Amino acid sequence: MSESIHQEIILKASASRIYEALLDSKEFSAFTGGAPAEINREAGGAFSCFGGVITGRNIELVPNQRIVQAWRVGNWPEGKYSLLTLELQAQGSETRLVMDHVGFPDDLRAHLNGERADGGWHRQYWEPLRKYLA
Amino acid sequence: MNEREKMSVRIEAPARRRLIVGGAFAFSSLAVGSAGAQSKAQHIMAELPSAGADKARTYLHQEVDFNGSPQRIYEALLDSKQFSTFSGEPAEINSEVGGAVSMFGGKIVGRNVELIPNERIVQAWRPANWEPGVYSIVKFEFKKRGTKTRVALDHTGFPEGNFGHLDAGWKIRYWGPLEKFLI
Repeated sequence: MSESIHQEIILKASASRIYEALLDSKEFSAFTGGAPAEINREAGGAFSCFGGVITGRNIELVPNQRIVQAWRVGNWPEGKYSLLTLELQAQGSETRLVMDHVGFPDDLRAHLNGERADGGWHRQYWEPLRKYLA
Repeated sequence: MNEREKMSVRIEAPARRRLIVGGAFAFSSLAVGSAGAQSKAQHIMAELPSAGADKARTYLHQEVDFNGSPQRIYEALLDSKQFSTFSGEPAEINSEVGGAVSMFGGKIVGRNVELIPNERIVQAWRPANWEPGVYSIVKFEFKKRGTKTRVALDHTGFPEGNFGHLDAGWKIRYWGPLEKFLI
C-alpha cells in the first residue's frame, strides 16, 4: 500500500560531483562495478544501467539539484515504471542526497529497501557511490 | 438501460460522492470548460480530504469502455488539438517518447515515458501545484473489444491524501469529456 521508500544519505562531495556521477555513463559504470551504463543526459532522454537491468527515462533534471527518473527493472511487467526523485542539498563541504522512490510493485519494497540478503539502494548505489567519491 | 447509459452511471456516481466543497486546485475541480460531466463540477469548490484507508492510497486503477478504435483513443490522448477539444482547455503535447506534455492549460504537466502506438501510453504526470519534483506515473492500456475499446488506467506513485480527488478527477476530466468527444 505504501509502495514508497525515502532515504537520506550524507556524502563527502559537492552536489555537482554527485550529480555528475549519477548522470555520466562512464562514472556511473565505474562506481557500480563496471557494468555497462548508457545515460542520455537530456530531460526526456533514455538511460540503461547495470548492463540493462535498470532502464528508464529522465523526467526532470535540475543541474546539481534534482534528478527525476521513470525507472524500471527489466523483469517487471511490461509498461510498469516507478518514479525516482533524487534531491541534492549542499551542507558545507558535504551533500545530503534525499531519495524518494515511489510506485514500484508492492512486493519489492523489502528488496529495494535493503531488507533482503542482497540488493537494495544502499548496497547497489549509496555504498559504492560513497567509496567512489572517497 | 443501454451501454452508454450504463457507462455514464459508472462514471458519474462515484465522482459525485467524493466531490465536496473546499478551496485550492484539485484535479477533480479544475477550472471547467463546457457542458456535460464538467458542468457538474462547476459549483464545486474543492474536495474533502480523502478519508480513512483511502487517505493512504497512492495508486488507483480504472477501466472504461469507449466507442472507437484503440487508434482513435490513443490519438485523442496524444494529439494537442484533439485533447484540447475534448478537455475544453489548452493542451500542448509532444507526441514523441520523452517529449513534454502540458494539459488543462498547464495545470497538469509531465513527460511521455513509453509509447506503443494504439496499445500503451506511459506518462510521468503531475499537477503543477504539487511540491517541486513530485510526479506520479500514469499508464493507459488500450484493448479492442468488438467495436469498442477498453482503456485500463493505472495511476501509481502519487502522494498520500490525493486518492479521492484523483479518482474522481479521471472521470470528470478525462473519461466523461472523452466519451462525448468520441460519439
